[in-house]
Amino acid sequence: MQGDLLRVSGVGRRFGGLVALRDVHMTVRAGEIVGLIGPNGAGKSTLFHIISGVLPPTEGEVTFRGERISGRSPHEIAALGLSRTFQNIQVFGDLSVLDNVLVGCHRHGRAGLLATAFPSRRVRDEERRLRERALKALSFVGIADLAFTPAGLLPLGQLRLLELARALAAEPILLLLDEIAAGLNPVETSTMAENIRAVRDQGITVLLVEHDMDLVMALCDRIVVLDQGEKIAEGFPEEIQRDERVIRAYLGAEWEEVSA
Amino acid sequence: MRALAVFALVVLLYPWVAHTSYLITVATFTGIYTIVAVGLGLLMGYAGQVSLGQAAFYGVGAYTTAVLTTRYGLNPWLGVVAAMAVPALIAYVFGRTLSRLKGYYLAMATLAFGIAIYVVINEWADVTGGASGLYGIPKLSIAGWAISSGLPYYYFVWAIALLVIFMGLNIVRFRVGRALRSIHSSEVAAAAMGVDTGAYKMQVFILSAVLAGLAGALYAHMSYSLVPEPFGLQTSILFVTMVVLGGMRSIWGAVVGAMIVSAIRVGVNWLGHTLPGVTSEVELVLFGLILIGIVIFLPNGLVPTLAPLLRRIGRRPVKSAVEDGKGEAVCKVTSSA
Repeated sequence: MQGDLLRVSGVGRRFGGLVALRDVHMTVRAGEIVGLIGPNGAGKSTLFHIISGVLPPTEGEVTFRGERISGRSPHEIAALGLSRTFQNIQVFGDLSVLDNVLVGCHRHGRAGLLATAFPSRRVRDEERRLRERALKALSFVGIADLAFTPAGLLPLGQLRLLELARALAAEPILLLLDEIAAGLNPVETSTMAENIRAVRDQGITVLLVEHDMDLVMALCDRIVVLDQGEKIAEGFPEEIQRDERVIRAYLGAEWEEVSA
Repeated sequence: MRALAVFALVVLLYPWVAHTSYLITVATFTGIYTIVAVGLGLLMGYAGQVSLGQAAFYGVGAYTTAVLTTRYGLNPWLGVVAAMAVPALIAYVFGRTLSRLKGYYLAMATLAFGIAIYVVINEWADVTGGASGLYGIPKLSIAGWAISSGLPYYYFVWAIALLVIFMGLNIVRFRVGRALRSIHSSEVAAAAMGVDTGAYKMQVFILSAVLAGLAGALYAHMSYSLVPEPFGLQTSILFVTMVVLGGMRSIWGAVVGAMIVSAIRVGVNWLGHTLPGVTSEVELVLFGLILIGIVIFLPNGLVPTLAPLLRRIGRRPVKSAVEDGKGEAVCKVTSSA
């Protein structure tokens, strides 16, 4: 696809008197892995919520594949091929691992309430197809052997993998990962990095929020930095690492004085 | 589905064991209640919404067909269809006005609706016959043969109830049921996966109203006359009790709940004949206590709590597939993998 897959133009978000985001512009091109970083409270998660439709922006607009998506509901945006994971894990705890991923496949099925009440051959075939798709996503992240475990029983590392599998099962065009490596140990983190690269190699574009700088620098083609609701830098990892405003935002003014 | 086959056999054979006309009538009522409970179970356990006015839909169904057949001479079968259509329409309007069925608005609104409908049935005497009742409701008939009360009506009601159970088990198993269970667990994640949560809640609410209306119609055509009394708040609470007692998130839970509540009513009735002072008021107190007890000690309800135990006791007992056919799914995939 030519040009920008996702375009965020002049997006702002206020909560009452609090300005969480101010005039943010950014783009994601097809095939990229873009990192969104910034100190706590920079507005990264708010921006993710706006892109995925959980929150409407108070100013500006978001377009995805050329269509305006800001103001639409999350399920409509998901139907266009945008999938996401959540920082505070949102796994369906009382469903099995497989059923979780099957919900991820939801947009690829068509059977409605009445059709499933008296399931025809077509409904059963569709179910089989979705199941294969879900198992494929589970083997992709390497937890197919847990398919029938209740999701609520998984440890954190596997929960994160499950969220990834569920988002992948939707076969998205753009995948948003909200701190997918948070709380993972180094081994799990490197597995996750491998997974994210493999996702991109499948042709899926990735936008990720992450605190683990080593991971961000190693993975991302481009990085966007937010601080206190505003974009302060954008560029290749090497540029960002050298950017003074970024360093200041992360380490505070004192560090500058000490090092000077 | 094997559990359903076994259960159907139990339904078929029951009259050989319990052959007094009283016990047949009770079992027929149980079938009617089961139809309501399956719908309410889907609404409460899967769409995460409570209706405290299910008896009103039940009543609207009963009176719709009763009024249309007695006053306007409509064919009773068309009356049954109307008895399902009118509650569907009411539920639709409710759903549209209650901002996508969030929070406890539906519980409050249906409670008010239940009380209002009860008043309307009582006071609109020109149409409903008011407190003195509506008489001369025709029987349903198949190819010229009237389905008379007693054994034929028992089998008729249970045939429909089994169909409704079959329907419920399937809904829960496939794509929509999964989506509904996911809404219950994390609405925000469900929506991010493309599940139109508002639309599914609405559909399930309408389905529950349709089933209550159908049950009401079956009740109306069972008896010759109709009075407002069975359609009040007490009956709505009875339905909620069935679902909570049996287990909200299980279709079999609704069925078992309906059966136990019926059994308790039989028991109270029997006590009423032996002990003076035991009346149907006692029933209400009893159901209140059961509700409290279940919520405190068995929040998942009987069936989801007991099913794994039953399974462990062995030799694939009757209700082994109780939990939404999960067992079946496991076998299928592992064998195909």
